[in-house]
Amino acid sequence: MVSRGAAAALASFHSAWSIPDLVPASGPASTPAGPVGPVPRVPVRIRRRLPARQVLPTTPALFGWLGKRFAPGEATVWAGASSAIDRLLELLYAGSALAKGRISLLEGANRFNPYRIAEQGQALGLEPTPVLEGIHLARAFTAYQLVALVDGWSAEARRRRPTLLIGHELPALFDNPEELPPEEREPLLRHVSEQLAELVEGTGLPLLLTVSGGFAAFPGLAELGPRFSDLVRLIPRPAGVELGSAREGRRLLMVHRAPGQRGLEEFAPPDATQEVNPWAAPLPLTGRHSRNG
Amino acid sequence: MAEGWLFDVTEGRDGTSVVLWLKDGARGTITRRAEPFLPPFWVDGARTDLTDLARELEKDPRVAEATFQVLRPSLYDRRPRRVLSVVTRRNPDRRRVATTIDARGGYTRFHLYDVDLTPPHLYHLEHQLYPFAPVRWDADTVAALEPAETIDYALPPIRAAELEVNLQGCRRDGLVRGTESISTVRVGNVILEGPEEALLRTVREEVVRQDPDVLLTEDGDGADIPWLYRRAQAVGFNETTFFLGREPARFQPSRAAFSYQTYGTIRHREAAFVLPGRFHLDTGNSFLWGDAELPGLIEAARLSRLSLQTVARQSPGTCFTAMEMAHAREEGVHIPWKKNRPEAWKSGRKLLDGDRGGVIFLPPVGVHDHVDEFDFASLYPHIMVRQNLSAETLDCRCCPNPRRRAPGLGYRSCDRRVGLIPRTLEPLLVRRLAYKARLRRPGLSPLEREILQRRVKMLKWILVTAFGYQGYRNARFGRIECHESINAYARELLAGLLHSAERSGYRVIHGIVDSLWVRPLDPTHPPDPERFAETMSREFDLPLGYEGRYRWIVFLPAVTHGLGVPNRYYGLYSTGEFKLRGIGSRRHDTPVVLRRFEGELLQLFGRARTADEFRASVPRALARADAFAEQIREGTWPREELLISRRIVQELGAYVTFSDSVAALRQLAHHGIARAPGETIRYLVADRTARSWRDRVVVAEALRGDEPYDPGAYLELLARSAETLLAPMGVRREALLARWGLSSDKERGPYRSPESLVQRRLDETMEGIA
Repeated sequence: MVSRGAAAALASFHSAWSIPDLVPASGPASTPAGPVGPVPRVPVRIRRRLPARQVLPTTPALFGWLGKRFAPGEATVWAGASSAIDRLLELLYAGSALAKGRISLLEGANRFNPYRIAEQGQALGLEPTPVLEGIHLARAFTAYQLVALVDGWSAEARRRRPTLLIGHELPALFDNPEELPPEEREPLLRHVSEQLAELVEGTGLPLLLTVSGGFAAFPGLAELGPRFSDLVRLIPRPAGVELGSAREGRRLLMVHRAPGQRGLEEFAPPDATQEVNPWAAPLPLTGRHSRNG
Repeated sequence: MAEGWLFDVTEGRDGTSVVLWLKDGARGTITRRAEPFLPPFWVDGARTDLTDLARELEKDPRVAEATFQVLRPSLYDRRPRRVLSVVTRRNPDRRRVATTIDARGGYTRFHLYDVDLTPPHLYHLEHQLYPFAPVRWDADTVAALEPAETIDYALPPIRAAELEVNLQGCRRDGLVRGTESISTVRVGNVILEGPEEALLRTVREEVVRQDPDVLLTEDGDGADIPWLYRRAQAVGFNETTFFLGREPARFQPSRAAFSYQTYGTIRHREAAFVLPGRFHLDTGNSFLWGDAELPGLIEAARLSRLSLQTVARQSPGTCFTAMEMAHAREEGVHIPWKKNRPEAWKSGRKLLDGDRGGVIFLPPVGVHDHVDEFDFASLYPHIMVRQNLSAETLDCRCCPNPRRRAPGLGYRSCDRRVGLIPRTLEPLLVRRLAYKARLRRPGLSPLEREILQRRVKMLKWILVTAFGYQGYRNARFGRIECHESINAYARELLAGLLHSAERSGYRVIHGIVDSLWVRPLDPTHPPDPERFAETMSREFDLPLGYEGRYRWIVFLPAVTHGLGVPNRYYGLYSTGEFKLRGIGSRRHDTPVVLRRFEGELLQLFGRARTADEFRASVPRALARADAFAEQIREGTWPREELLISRRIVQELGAYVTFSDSVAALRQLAHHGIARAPGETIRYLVADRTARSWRDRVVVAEALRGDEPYDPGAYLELLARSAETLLAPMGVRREALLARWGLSSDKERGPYRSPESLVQRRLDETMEGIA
């Protein structure tokens, strides 16, 4: 059953994306819906699809939950607080390495931090080298570079055969009017959306797009972009981060908790729409030291 | 047929020509020569798209012709291709037509070249001319008599005059409302005053009479020229009746003021008021003027093919890019409008290995003696040239097994062709070495020495920038893998030098990228440093220079963790010359009082010949600090010397915390003065505990000179300055403040807003009750 909250989330999901076929008639969808969209697409020639592989391991529970959000040849969008997105992304890189996956990452915000990713891998018992070797990336520093990278992403994906494609904050570089004339922003982002659609349809690979500003920050993504598998909203909560899946109306609360410590949810009646995942992450800083006081 | 110099090329007012300003060598007069010039720009794209575009452009009234040509537009093209050449009817339409074409291609289908180069710059490039070229001309042609790269060139005779404008009832750096009339104008040695209309007419006549080639101002872009134009307009002159160049110019700036971000800091660039036929150089709006002055700027203008007025207002990076463009155009390569070459795909591991800088050691905090310093001269440019590191030659297709690979990264350097960057840099390195060699020659006149030194400094700036531009996202011919390779070669080199130094009897105590500080293992029998430098230069095939031996050098700690900071130290060479890095005297925002204090301390330490003597002079240094503190506390220190400078990083409204800078900005706003991000404000701290912007500071523009100041604020700054220099000797800020009877904790005043009417009434009520 979809809870009232989840239904509301799906409704907003529907209205924001304008993709009616993504909203299940009743209950959580087990398989992605068909590729019909309100905007007619340019016909895409589907070349040989790369074989679908498991993106993330099924355990720990977080990876199992996240892994269900991906589907071959479709895009999953993470939206919400960028700090939460970045930290979850680092966990995902490590999780992918655990499943012996390969990631093709297009970095649009220059926030790829190999040291933190290596630490996350070490927390899962992995050596830093295989974790970092499992990620192939290119960073864009201008909007024009990003467009060039997206244009060549399909060829790169066919060469490297990754298990997951990730586009991190692709629209970020288009928001600086000193670097990019405002009139170019929308046409270029629409072009990027079309290319992403072609990429996932051509390769059959799952694509994760992290867009902290949501769809409003990415013109053309909803209409011209790839088919969507799910929208995950990341909302910082006092206890940790809440992940909400728009497709299934399910939530996952990642709470900061030391290993071995037990939580109240263990003693409460089960909630079908929410899981709680203890996360031994350091607590966020609540203040900063200042020499001046 | 006449001979002389090409001074400048400016854009013609008719939009279809350029104007050449030629100085007659025999008569010394300036000749204006208009040349029709409508340069094309180039469009590359799919054949069908270009055909459709050419058809469309035929209907565009702004376009004179659109024809197909076969050429190699891009640096990365191996074979010529069919591209569209577009010529507009007027030069000002070039960019507009280019934008239309780009939009037509959805901003992705077409690549455009040579769009944003100005017609004068293109004229230089297409006619093998350059600013200050010795030329011969007749009715048809103007030809340079020697190439721009000539090292031993003669400077043309240049007449310069200073221009300074003063307003009625205002200090030059005081509050200006914009409505004041002009009181005096200085042109060269002539000071003019009188009724404003007559005064302005006389200014124009005096400029014509003196006919200087260069008008030198200090803050002319921000004050003098706009003030003159504003007042000229106010009293009825127009652009054709009042002008300072050799022909009329608009009263508008040729480029508006703007703020920008570079290396993590916000900077501001004033509007540019350039003059046709005469150079307006604003020494206050020129990053390069301080080091390069006229000889250095002329050197840069010749090599970059940019006007002297442009070079003076641009960064060294822009000059370097223009030099790259000149070399690219010699090879028939055109200049991309929107650079889109991205970083290559790589693994996270490779990024970790590659995305790092040079070798940096943590220096041992404290005073050291018997320290020798060695330094590779122009290390990065030499690496780029030796290893052929350039965007198009790195990981080329033609050399799968080359001789050179970036250490640890494996990037290949082409063996078959020399890249654009080495081609651009090598002549600069040769020039710099040639000038330095000439400087060592005996018998140079002071003027010749000055000219050569300025040229060397200019070239140094350009060479320094050349490396950074490889990693700059908007560099026309940059590539981040080149940046990574240069660092990889430099790391390997310094690691090798470290081992060689240890084998030669040294112990390495500090190193930064291309410099090494070493101490002999046996100070009684130190190795010969000159011979070591020579041996290493041969071993590494790069010029390693011996900078000198220190009598003592102090490596300073970080305030946060106490470990050594690589680039914060001060020391005294055996020659008696100081080397200062990262201390207050090197910062632009240090008040004069602290500079004076540091200067006195350094003078005191300058008498020490060893580290022990240095330590022995610390009590005297503390006594000097006490004397400064005493005078500051008395409240009699000259206010001008207490002014603190701060570069503001955002608009006033964007600040969320109330600080001295915010108080100063609000005061300026109250006086009708707006400061843009990147501009500097100067203020006196009147009461650091005040929560009112009226009471907290006094901005420099409103300073009378007798205002009370906050001694506590300045004692804290003094204590911090003393701590910076003396921390390795155990001197702490808190201890100094306690010694001066001041707590390190500030006590804020109560929350109140004196400018609020409600607050005032409340205060009055409270007073009434009391």
